[in-house]
Amino acid sequence: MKFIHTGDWQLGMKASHVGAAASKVREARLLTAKRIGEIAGQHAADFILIAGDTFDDNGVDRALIQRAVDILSGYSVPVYIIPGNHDPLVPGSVWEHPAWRSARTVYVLKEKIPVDVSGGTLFPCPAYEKQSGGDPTAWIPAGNDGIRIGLAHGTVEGIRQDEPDYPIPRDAAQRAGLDYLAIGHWHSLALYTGFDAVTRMAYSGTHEPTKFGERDSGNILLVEIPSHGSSPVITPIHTGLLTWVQMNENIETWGDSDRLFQRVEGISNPNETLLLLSLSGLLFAQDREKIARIQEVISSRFLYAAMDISKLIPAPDDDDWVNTVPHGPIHDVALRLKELSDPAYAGSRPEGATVDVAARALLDLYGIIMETKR
Amino acid sequence: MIVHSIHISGWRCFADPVEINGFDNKLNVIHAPNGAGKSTILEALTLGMFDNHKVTGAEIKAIRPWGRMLSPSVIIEFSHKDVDYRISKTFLDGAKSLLERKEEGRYTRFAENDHADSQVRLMLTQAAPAKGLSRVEHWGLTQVLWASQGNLALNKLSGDVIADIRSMLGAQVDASAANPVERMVESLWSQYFTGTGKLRSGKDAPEIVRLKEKLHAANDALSQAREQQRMFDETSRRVEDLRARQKQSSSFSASIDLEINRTAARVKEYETLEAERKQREEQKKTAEAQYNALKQRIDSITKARKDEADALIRLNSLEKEKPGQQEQIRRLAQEAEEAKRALEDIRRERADIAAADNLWQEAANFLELSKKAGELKTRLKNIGQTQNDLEGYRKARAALIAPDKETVWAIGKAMKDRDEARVRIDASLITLEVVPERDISIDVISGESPGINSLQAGKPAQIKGSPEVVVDLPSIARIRAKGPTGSIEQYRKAHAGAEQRLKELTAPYGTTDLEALHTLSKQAEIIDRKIEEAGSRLKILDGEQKETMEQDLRRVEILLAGISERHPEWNTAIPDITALKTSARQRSDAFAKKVDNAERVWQNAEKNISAAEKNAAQISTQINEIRTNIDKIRIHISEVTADGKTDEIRTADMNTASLAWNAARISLEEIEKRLAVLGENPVSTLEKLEKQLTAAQENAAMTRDEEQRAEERLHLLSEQGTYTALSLAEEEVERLKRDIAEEELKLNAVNLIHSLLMQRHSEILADIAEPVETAASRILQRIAGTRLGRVKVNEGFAVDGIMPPDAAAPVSLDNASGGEQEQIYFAIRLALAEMIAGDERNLIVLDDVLAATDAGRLARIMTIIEETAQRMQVLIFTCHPERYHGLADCRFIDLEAVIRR
Repeated sequence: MKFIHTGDWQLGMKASHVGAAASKVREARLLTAKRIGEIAGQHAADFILIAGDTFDDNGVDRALIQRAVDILSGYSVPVYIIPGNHDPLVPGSVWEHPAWRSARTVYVLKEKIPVDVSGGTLFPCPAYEKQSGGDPTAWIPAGNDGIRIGLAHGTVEGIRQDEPDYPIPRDAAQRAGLDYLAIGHWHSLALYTGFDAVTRMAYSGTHEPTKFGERDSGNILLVEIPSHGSSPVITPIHTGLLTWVQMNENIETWGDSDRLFQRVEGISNPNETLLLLSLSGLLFAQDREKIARIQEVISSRFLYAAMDISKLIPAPDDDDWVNTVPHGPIHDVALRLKELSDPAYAGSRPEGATVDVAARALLDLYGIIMETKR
Repeated sequence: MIVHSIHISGWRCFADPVEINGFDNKLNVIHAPNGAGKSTILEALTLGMFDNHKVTGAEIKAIRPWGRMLSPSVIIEFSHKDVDYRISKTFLDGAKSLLERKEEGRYTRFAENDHADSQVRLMLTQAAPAKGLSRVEHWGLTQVLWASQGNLALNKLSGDVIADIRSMLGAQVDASAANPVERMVESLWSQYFTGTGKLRSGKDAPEIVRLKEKLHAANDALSQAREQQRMFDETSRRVEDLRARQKQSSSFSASIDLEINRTAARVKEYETLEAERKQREEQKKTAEAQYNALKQRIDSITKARKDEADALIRLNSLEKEKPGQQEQIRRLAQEAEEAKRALEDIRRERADIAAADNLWQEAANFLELSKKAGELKTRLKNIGQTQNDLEGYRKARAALIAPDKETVWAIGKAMKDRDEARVRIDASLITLEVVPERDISIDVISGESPGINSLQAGKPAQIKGSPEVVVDLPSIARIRAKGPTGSIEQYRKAHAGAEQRLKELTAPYGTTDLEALHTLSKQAEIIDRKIEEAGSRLKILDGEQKETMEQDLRRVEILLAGISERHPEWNTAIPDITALKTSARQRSDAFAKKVDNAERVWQNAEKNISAAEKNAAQISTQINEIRTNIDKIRIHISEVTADGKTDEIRTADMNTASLAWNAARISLEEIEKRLAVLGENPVSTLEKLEKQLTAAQENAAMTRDEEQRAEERLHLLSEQGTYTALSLAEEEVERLKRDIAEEELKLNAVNLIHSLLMQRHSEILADIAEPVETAASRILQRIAGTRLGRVKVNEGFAVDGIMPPDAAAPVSLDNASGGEQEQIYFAIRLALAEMIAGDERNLIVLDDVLAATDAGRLARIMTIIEETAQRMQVLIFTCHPERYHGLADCRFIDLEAVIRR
């Protein structure tokens, strides 16, 4: 038996954290979903398991359901799907859409009853509500009759959580005599090895990363089980189309900005990359233009880019440019802004003169002075 | 810039050309009476130097001489930075402008029209606007240097002038490199804010305003999307709930249906048993009634027989008591008769008791009458005495003829009138006194006592008369003495009137002696008082009732005589009323006690008789009643034994009935036990179950309908893709928030730079204002002394007030007089002029601006003007040239003379 284990597609997910790139992020999830069918074909998989949360919510656009069904119907192998906690089997759910009825190779498993699949038996554990404190796999009867695989959505014991969230015991597969338990809910790839040193339970993670800082996401698992009781062969396959890059850079001396610029320019496929660049450290007036240039580059080239310079503070020793300003009101203002932009400054502040605002004002003033010199 | 000449034509009152030339480089006074055109000269100078030659509008048209079609023109020759220029401007028709520069001794064309205008303006101000050039706020530095009539005060200098002054006063703080930066800051800031610091709005609004508007709309859309999503989730749950309820309803209906079937079977069994129970109940009742009837008859016979026996025993006993009762009544009647007789014996003693009581009351009456007789006698005696006294007084009063008080007063007044008349007569008479040396006879011809009067030697004699006294002194002379005539007769008449009245008043009393009359009046008064007192006394004694008293006395004496006759001993010894009364009371009390005792004994005897008689009557009644009862019992016994059975047969019948009743009861109990097993009547339960079923079916139908509606609602909401809409709305809001935050940071940064810059400017301007204050204060002190103290100016060099030496804070200029105010303004203008003058000679114009200054202070001002003229050209317009005659080295220009030329 060979099959693909995936889940947590979160189709139609919210992406307010990536601004105007939200629609492209959503679109990428569909494109990757389509590619999974191709990968299954390439690896001669018998079927595909989707372990819940195919959709981000039951209230997604109905056209999106149709598109998802179209994609799944286009697979060359059968697809078995269980509702997850994001798209539970409730009235008005995505699973009531008429498109599912026409998809002959797509099986939405709505009941806790064993299903015969190619080479064995599948024990589905659909979610009927958004939250539950019950073990979704508890119903699976023990058995020893051919290859037995489970399909569930929940949180494996040991993962930190505030409230019980479809808890699944770490030995759920062993308890139920399953050869493999395909689980979804968490977006990072995770394999669970039993006391017999055999891995029979795994999170495939989401097929396409959903946010910055997400570990080991953008994968599916190719699972091969020769026979009941044998060790499954689990092979992760990277499927993520978009790259989410989070860079936290510290600038300490002149020239660091140059190096940063080179690194940013070196990122490949920027049009399929989302970049979150957080700068900290000291800001030298001369670096201002370089920082602005980096902002220009990332804004124009990347699918999405955001640069946070709020942790950059004007370099205390960076007085040269101020000294070039003739003595007078502007010179006095520059010195005052430098003072106000120092987080350690404890003196009185004019209304609205926070460190952020003062630092920005100082940079702007520098820019104005430089512009008038040209 | 200094001016050398001005040529005007076609300008207000100057229709014909007029030229004033030969201005001194230092000090000039242009004088003329009011209305001669002094201010017109200044106006032409201003427009010639500042205004655009092509200016149009009502203001420029107003300068054209009235009723003439002339084009106003002005030609000014002046020097600027040691170069001589000539500006020629024609306004309105044929408007043109020409600036000429003197080169090699003659004027050469330098610029014309707009160029000429702007070139000249540039010499005077660095930032002239495009329009309104002739307005004072656009005169540049000349706002300070030129003071037109009535406008000596410096209220608010335009921004460019302040900048110019600041530039001149503090070049060190205004480095040229910084200016473009400040302008760019200002430009950037003004993209966001209005001049008053408010965020721009409308079409000029910065991006942030539009973004916030979008955010507002996006938030609305987000709220709506959230609400839709909430409704979607809620409706989904609702459908789920309704489906569960529907399932529950079906299950409930089925269970009720099953229960109805079970209950129906129980109802059938219950109804069968109930019918049987009723039948047994009836049987039991019949047997019970039969037994009860038999038992009741037997009990009734037994009881009646016993009652008859008891009644006969009681009757016998009562009949035995009856004779004893009659004997007792007779004995008691005898006792009562004896008691009655004893009572009547005692009552016969009542006459003696009354006699004793009458005796002490008669004795008391005797004493009372004796006392009253004595009192009546005394009062009658006093009345007789008082009547005698009164009669005596009345006789004495009748014998005494005396005037009363009023008459005495009238007599006194008549005497006084008579005496006054006599004095006045004496005063009115002419008195001739003759003192003969020897005894002579004189003949009084006219006088009071005419005739011959003998006079003794050495003894003066007076002859009186009126209106004249004529005395014939034999052989010697006839003397005639005359005096004033008129009043003597009047006095004599008054005297005679008074005498007559006196006579009439005193005639009844026989004397005219007022003292005697007074005595008589007093005596009469005393007698009258005694009469009055006696009358009063008589009244008190009730004299008028004397006869009644006498009758009372007689009646009392008759009563006393009667008592004395019955009790002659009381005439000699007064009876002891207390002893008599005590004795009578004691006898009366003893009698009353005896009567009470006797009455009580008699009444008790009577009561005993009544009780005995009542008892006897009761016994008779009881005997009769018992006999009647025995008759009734016997009738009853005959009735209940009319069945003809013996007592034994009746008892056997009763036992048989008892057995039948017991059998029926046991049978009924068996049925009831079976019914108890079935419980309450299941019919009502069945009815309830049927109602429940109906309600459950209705509820199920309602739930089904509701579910259907909820499903439809859910379908509609799911069709909307509420979550997708919510995602898009949230993304839009987040994007706008990020953009707004970025814009806000940008805006706040620019605002901070600007506000810090403005703050620094204020500080610098405050520093610059200080030397202006010092210079102006020094000038003011020279003019007005130290009284006004220090002049205070603000950042715009407008007067803020004055700081008198002893004041803690600046005070308003309103505290200074009108003259002092214009001196303060003059001082500030001069101070500013001196500070901004630099090396260039500038023109100061004062158009009749010191009108309120007194001669003393004007003289000191002239000294200061003379000093100023060493560095600047001063042009003073005035209609009082004599006030400035003290100025040294001054050119006086008589405008009228110039016009006449």
